[in-house]
Amino acid sequence: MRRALLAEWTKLRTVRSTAWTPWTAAVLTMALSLPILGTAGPDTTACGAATGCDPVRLSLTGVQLGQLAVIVTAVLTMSAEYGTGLIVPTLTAEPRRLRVLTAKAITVTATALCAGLMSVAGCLIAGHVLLPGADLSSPLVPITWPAMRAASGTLLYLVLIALFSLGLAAALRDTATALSTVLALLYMPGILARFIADERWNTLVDRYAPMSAGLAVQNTDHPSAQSIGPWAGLGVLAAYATAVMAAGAVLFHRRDART
Amino acid sequence: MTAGWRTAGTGFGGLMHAEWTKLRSVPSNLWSLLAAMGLIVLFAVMISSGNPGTYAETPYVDRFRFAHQTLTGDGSIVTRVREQHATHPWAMAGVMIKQSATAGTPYAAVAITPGHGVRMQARFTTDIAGGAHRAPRWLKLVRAGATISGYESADGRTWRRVGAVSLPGLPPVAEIGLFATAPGGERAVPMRPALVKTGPAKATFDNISVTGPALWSRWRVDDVGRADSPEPPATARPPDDGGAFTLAGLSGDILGQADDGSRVIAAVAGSIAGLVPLLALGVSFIASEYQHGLIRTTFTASPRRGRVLAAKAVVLGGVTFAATLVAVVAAFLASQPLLRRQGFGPPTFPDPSIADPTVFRVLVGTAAFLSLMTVFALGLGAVLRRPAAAVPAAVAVALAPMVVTPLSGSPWPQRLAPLAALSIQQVKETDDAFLLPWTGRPWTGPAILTAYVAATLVMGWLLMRRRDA
Repeated sequence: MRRALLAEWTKLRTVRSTAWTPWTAAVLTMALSLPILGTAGPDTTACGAATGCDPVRLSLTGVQLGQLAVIVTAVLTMSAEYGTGLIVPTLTAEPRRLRVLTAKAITVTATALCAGLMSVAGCLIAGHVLLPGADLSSPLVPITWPAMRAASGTLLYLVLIALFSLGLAAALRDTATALSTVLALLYMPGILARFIADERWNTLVDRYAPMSAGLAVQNTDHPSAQSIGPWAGLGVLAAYATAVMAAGAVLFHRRDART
Repeated sequence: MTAGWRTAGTGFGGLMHAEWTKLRSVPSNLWSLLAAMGLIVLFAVMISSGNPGTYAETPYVDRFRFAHQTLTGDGSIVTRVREQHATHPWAMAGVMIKQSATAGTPYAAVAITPGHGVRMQARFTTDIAGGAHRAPRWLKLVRAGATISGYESADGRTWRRVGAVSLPGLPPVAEIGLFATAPGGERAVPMRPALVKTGPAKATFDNISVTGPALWSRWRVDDVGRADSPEPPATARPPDDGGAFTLAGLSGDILGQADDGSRVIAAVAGSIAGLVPLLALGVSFIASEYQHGLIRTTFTASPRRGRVLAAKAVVLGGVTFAATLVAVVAAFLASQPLLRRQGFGPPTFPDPSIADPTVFRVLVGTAAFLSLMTVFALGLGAVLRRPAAAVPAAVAVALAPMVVTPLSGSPWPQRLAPLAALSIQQVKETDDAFLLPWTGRPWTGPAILTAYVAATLVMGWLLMRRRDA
């Protein structure tokens, strides 16, 4: 197992574009968070008239964009090997496929954690600097249990997103197909829910779509009756990730490595 | 080598034939197209069947804060709206005569709005435009029998008549006063949320005077249309000496049910769902050639790279246009019975016909929008070459306005992004709605998208010429 892990780690580390993943994630995260924090006020739409403002959640909004870097890395970890044909030597060196997939899962988890740490720290510091003065408190002072839950939950969220992407890539193999499927599954439900006025539909999407369920962990104020609980939401995402990883593992195990 | 392959190298027609063969013989291309078509229909059906729209129970929305006196017989009210704090283009602050402070009763009002100037409105159906002014503005309402006339003025001396309406059956005793409203969730283009920051209705009035032969001069403040108002009206009454008075209330609206284009908009709203597979198709159509080295064969057969890219763009654009047009028309036809069942039926919402020029423009324009977006992704694929870079880039550029717009509340992200082409789906909007930018100018958006497509294709062509395959 150590050998397989080392091999995966070397592959990930030595490709220039993936070595930059945490930085890219942090930059993308800040690119969304900074303008939102800079313009936030008590009456902005970002706060929501009904729910009020949640400084921690507002600060961490950028993760919705920053996760792109993690998704691309996780997908490429699998699909790039099929694209270039590297999968054949990989499986020759380590024929036990579940071991290969486990090693890949561990490396993308590490990458996601790294990217998450940088992004979350950047967001919270930016929120601490920018928010007070706009009638909103800092997300850091005082450090509360819900704020810690939101920060650590966001790290777990990114890990689960990475595993979800890896599993789909193992099942679909082609980069463009896998990437577009992941992106559609994550972003489209929330967008489409905006078109449907019916409360029940909206609640359903909000609770059980992978992205909105997982991001519920970022709520620190009293969650409304419709929204799913912070840990329950992360649990929903974990269930999706597990299912997709299992499907990916079965397909990876059974199929021939096409070149 | 077959005869077809030999002709592929000869003219542009042969080149297009070669690209057509590549497009239809790769299974993942066909799956992307089918997925897009399926999603377009599926989401149109979902949106059409899960949407009661704004008017779930009554054919009107009647919710506002009303500071009023009881007026018997003829009379008038004059005030100056000194300041209007609401930002929604259809927020209203002004003067009103209403049968009673109960939702749904007949009324006539003249009001100032932040986005649509002075309006005189009555009985949920009449809407007369006055001058395109914002607060401060003087407003006057005069009752003479069943006729109510509305006036506006810049200084309170020279008055301009906005309009006159007849309210037959208005009893001699009616309520007259000041009102303020600001649409929150209420005024949505039923299928698309309006693009505005929601905030409470708030306006400051001064120089208030009510005149009438028989006036019961006690002011009362009511939240019309809110039986259980979560924020009871303040105790402050308009002063009798004509000083300033601020009326602040919850969000609300005064609006009658009218054909707002819902039957068309809902039927094509699902088009956005098909976007992601189409973007993947556009990127793959060129990037996968680089990935598998096929591009070298392509360029050996036809060394002029501009022609190859042009052939790809024409074939891809044509095929996606035809496929999505089928899907959009199917979605439109499948949605109509569902929308009727949701209450969007005649006489208020007449059955739309494909032959109607607006409906035709929306349907064909939506297919053109989807096809242009696919070619845009092709251009990005030509520039970036790797699907891992081009797919997220295309998706981010396409979806960013959808994510950013609700967060920022500004109309500009969706006006300037490639997605601006969705303006072609406009039917009867009065303001920019979510993903319906450029109100009143449906062709501006497609022009912007065309510019994006041309720019990426030219950039891709220049890079292809310079770079080795």
